[in-house]
Amino acid sequence: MAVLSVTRSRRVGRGITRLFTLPGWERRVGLAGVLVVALLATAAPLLTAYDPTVLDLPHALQPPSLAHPFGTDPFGRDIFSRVLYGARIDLQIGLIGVAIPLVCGTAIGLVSGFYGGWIDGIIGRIIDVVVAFPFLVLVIAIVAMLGPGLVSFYIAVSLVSWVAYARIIRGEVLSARGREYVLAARMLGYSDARIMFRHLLPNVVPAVFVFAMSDIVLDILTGASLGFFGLGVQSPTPEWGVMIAEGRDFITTAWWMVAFPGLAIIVVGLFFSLVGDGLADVIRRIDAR
Amino acid sequence: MHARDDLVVDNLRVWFGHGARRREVIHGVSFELPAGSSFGLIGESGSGKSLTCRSILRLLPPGGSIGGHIRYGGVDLAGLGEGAMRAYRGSRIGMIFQDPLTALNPVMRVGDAIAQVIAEHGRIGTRPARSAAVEMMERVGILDAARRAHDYPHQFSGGMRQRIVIAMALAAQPTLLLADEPTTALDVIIQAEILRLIDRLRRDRGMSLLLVSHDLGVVASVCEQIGVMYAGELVEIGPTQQLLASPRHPYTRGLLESLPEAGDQGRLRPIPGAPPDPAARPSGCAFAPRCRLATEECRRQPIPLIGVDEHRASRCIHVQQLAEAVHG
Amino acid sequence: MADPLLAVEGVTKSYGQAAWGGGRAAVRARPALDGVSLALDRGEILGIVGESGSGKSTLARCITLLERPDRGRVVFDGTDLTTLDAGSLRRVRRQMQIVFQDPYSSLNPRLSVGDALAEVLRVHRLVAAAAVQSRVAQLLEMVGLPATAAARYPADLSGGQRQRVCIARALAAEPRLLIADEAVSALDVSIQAQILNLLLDLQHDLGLALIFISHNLYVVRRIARRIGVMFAGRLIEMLPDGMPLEAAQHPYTQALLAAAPRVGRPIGTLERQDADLVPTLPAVGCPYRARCPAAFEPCAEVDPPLAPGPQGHLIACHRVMGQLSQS
Repeated sequence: MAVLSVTRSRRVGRGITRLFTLPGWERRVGLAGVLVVALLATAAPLLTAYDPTVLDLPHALQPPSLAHPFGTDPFGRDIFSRVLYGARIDLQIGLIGVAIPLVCGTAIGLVSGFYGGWIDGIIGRIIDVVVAFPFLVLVIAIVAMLGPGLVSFYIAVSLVSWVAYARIIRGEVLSARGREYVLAARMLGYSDARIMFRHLLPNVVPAVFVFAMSDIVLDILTGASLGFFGLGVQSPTPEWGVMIAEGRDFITTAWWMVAFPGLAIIVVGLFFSLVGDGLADVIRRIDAR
Repeated sequence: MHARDDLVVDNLRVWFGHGARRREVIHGVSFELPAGSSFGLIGESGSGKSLTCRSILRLLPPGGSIGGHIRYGGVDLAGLGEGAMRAYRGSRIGMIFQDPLTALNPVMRVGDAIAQVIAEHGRIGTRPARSAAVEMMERVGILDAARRAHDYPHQFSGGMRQRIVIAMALAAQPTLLLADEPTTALDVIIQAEILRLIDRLRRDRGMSLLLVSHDLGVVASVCEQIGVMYAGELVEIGPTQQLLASPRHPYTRGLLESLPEAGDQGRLRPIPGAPPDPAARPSGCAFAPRCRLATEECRRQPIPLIGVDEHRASRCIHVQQLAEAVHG
Repeated sequence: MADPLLAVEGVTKSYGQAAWGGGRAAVRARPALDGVSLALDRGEILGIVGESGSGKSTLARCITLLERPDRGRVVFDGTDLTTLDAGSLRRVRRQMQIVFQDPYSSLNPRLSVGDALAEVLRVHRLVAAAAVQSRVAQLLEMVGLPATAAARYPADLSGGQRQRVCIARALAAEPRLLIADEAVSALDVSIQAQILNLLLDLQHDLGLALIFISHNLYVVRRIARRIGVMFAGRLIEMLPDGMPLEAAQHPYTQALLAAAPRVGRPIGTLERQDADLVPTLPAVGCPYRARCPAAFEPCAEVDPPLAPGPQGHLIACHRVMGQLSQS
């Protein structure tokens, strides 16, 4: 394949600048929000003096105060710092948990849609089987088999989530395959790989980015659900879902244990949704030209 | 004096947006369509011909506003409210669009679709409306109409769907029919039949017809008068035969010369350049950048429509030169 | 007599669909292309006229093997393309390029004009890496676009400009055959004439063979000397160089001529056709017979073959051939 570096970086640059400059408050607010959260998570050690895992029983179950803005849990741990450190885990869950299926699902969908025939047949059947199961049930089943923990979570989500991406990409490829610029590429003697990755991929990938945003939210919630069931991240590592689970018995007495991690999930989810909405808008506007 | 059902378009303007971001795309179009006659609007993309046609029924895209007057049957349609406008659409003024597939509801049987129009506007019951619908289908040339009334749009070919669309448009007995590129999506032979059908129905009912097309041949075969649009303005208007035999505007002449049938084998005679954005008006004549006859005077200020004789007008100051070119 | 550049022999292509409800007695749909044969010399212009469903686009795709014919051969420059493997086909393909109808979907929206053209040159190593930019500028000039167009994206260009880019892209591959499949049908009239002139000039300057496909009889006549008329997947008449359209003998060609809207033809002379009132094409015999005013008994039984007629040109019509045997 020819050298693509200069033109590709120009193209990516063009895309990224468009993300910021085109009108639409959703995307900008969403992106800003996500960046702020990421910043806060990274800067956690600077923002809080408390170690999120260290016990401090004398200060257990204290309501929000100046010393502990989000209160403390039954072990005396500062919830504010646990939320901040938890952000690292949850953002990771969201992003990595989406990145792997996105890449795998896209590649599979590309090949499936481009070649059709028996390849598409087999992949299609596999997709049908996976899709027949409810997402959470499958994930829980796989995690239960592999043992709880973050790695099991990533494996489970990857094994299940890729189908959604493959389906979307396959659909887009099927419709794009007949477009004349693809026929022209074939006429120009381009290899299949070049057509798939250089011509089809850039045009079909925007469709999955929007879905990916909502998938990030779903992953965070799934991680939280698993944590809630005790199958996710293990104590004492802070993770919002685990924190909510721990606060389950204290809802009436120590509402802050559930409220703040819950709020964190909602807020981050909202930001990613906004980015997704904004992206959908941008794509629609670009394609409409 | 205007008869009751004459259509008089008077200084029609259409623009989008407001304030500083206002873009005017139709600039003062005026023409008359006497009751029972046929008028063809031709132009290329961006000329504004479709928009002009749709403005009559105020079917503008979102953000569009209208100015000027559209007088029909003594009423100024441009000034009517939405509710009153609805009473005109489909009943007194019918419309046919380009794509018959999207004009028909795919989950409604065609007989029902036509009957619905009849029932609503004629205020008659379902039974009589249904038999009137079958009659309408026969009138537009659909064989075995009683049986085919039960079919869905996808069971018809493109030409037959357009016939059904015509049936729907005429079901409420309109006195004016607007046809926006009605045959563009059809094959040549079917196109000829549909045009013949429209022409025959028009004559039978004494209906007025406004036909919009980019195809000079189509308009020439059906319309008595032609208006040529360019960059949102009428640049020439006149009776069909005269206009085509001796055009009085350089654009019309250029169009006729660039047609494939305008010569034998080999290179054609195109108009150089490309049609402009109708919202970006130059100070003078919009066609000047592409015109062989353009002079300083052409570029200085907007050119008005200059009457050539009782029935013809041209928006060109060199109209005399063009007349001599034909006869010289 | 040199071998033709392109020889299409008996190409047939069906888009299979099982008859509704199955059963062998069900009516077989006619193939999209039914035994089409034609030949094209180097540097020659051939016109193909047909309406939708005539198979003209399928023909273009089968010639270039974008679709594989069910039967028949496509011999390009001595090589039967239907026997080639994927790799060899990809190499040969470069020599026959297609310009499609829709300027909006013919260009990859994410590639700039310059990138699209450069890609052709780089993939096939047609020029040295250092010469790519200047060749791109040269190609743009050949199609009447400024060198600055290289930085633009398709979305910034008009229909006519995009079509020029498509032509430039086709030329970048240095083809010997160019197929224009309704290449000007989606353009405004005044732009059509510009692009048609461009095609004529390029064909003349570069010595390209050109197959010009269109539904518009007048456009085809302007461009091509030899014209093939297609109906229902078959070539039904082949008008040779020098034969005027008006002398065409096949009833379908005559119908096309009569129906084509023409400036200067007064109102009311459009002929009666009833073309779309006929439900489907008959499965046996001449496909045109349901609408043909000259149909008689043989038409219902046997598909008329494409053979030399009384005027010396190829025609597929029993009635016309009947005249031949009479004379």
